[in-house]
Amino acid sequence: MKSDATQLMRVAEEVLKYFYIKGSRSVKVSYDFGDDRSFCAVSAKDILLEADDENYLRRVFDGPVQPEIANYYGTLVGRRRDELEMELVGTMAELEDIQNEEGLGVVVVLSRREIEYRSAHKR
Amino acid sequence: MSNLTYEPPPNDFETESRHARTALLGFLGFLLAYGLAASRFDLSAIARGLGVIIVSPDILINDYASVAGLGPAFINSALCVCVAIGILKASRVSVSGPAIAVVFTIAGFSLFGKNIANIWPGILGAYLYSVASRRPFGENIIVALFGTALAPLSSEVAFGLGIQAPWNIALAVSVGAVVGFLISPIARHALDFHRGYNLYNIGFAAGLIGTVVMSGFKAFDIPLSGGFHWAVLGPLPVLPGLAAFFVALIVTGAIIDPGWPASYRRLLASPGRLVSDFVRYYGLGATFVNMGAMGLLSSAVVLAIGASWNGPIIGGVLTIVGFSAFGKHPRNVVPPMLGAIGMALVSKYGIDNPASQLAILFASTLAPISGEYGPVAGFAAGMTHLLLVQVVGTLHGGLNLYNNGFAGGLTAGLCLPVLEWLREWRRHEI
Repeated sequence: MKSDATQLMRVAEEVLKYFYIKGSRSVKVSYDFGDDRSFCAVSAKDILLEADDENYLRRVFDGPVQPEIANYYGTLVGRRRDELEMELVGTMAELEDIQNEEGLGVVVVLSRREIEYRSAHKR
Repeated sequence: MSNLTYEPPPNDFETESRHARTALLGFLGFLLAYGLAASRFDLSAIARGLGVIIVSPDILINDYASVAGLGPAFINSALCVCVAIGILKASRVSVSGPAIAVVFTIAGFSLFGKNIANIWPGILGAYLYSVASRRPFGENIIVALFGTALAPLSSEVAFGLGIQAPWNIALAVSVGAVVGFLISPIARHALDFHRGYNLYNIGFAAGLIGTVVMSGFKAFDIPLSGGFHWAVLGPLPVLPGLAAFFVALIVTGAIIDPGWPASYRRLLASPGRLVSDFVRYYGLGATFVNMGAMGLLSSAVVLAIGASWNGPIIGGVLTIVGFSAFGKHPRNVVPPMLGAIGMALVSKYGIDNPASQLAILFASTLAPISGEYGPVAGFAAGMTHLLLVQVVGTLHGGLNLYNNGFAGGLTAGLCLPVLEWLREWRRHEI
């Protein structure tokens, strides 16, 4: 399996854990693996994030992907039982979109480029 | 989409990264200036000193200040830092917490074991790992640079085993490259054992590899040639310059981020376990303030325990300063350091023992344990660390420069299941 695909799965697992800690008990994860870029969407209809939590998520993904960190330390993601590794996740994937609306719940869409070196997104 | 407002972060990461790279160049200038001044600008003496450093066996503990003098030792450190910064730049790696930690660690250990000649085989091995994995070298750069922990192995094969030239060099490069190659996958796997609670993870991986290599040497009756070199130096030649550098870091941090007190308060609340990139999440200003404060704190510890201001001790201080961009801060390092001091005082090892003095400084590798589980856990981990560090060195025969990283990995890996169980038990989750 491609390491990029594996890393995206780890990222999704950590976001899933974040949603669980925030109170969600029904989370859906979907993937779209492409040749150049892969996507994952994590959605929970039974919660709504506080403004601080949404800002925190945006802050986590604000910096660029850092493959030198993601490739080495990425194995730590998804391993700890009740501690989040969202800051590490922020070095592994880019935030495409966050939806956080009453009635629709929360959707976080993340992406990762094949052999990511520098973030494609300029902020 | 949500209508919730998004407050942009105070710092632009790319700009901070450029400033951090400039700061590393400033650090390089500091090492170079100090080396030249300590050598009284005698270039021939520096060249002779570097020659002695390169051919001396680097098994722990080989204090370059003892075998060649402080001036050549600092020039060697500057050269190795120059290589590290050059490789980071060529690999287009963003300079943030991990890169700062790796550069300061190389600077520190280039005062007692790494030199401008013996770091290359390990880096070559890590490069070959990237080629074999068909991945960019930049992805493996942190492991490649930290992986120079086993540099003494190349020196030992080249100059300590009595092999004729040029075969000694060829074999030294080959052996160094093989361990540099192997350390890449093993370091990733080693993280699983302590789950990021040992900041010197490569030291743990290098200790495992060094143990296998040393077992091979013993099996074939190949003796190691290293001796014990430990300069006895007072604080006067070094401390004023270092203290000025640490104060300059604090002032620079305060200037580039006037809002640093708030960021620094958040930084101090961080557990510090891997990966805690302080530059990325708290900004360069607060990070510089933390690095300077930690430099002054660790210098105070050195003064308090009465250690000599030689290569290994200065190396320990510089390593702590580097990791103060990547997990360490005053709140999480003090408990394990106090634990190590306490155990040194009550055990037969004593506080005058060089291994104890280094263990007290490097016990800060267990900072995440006190950051996550509290000061009592950190204190206990520091006590355990001092016990382990006195004996694990014999396993790898001093081939692994990060002996404290090896002991720290074992300590964290052993403490963690117990601490997790205790926490769950207290929360009535068991």
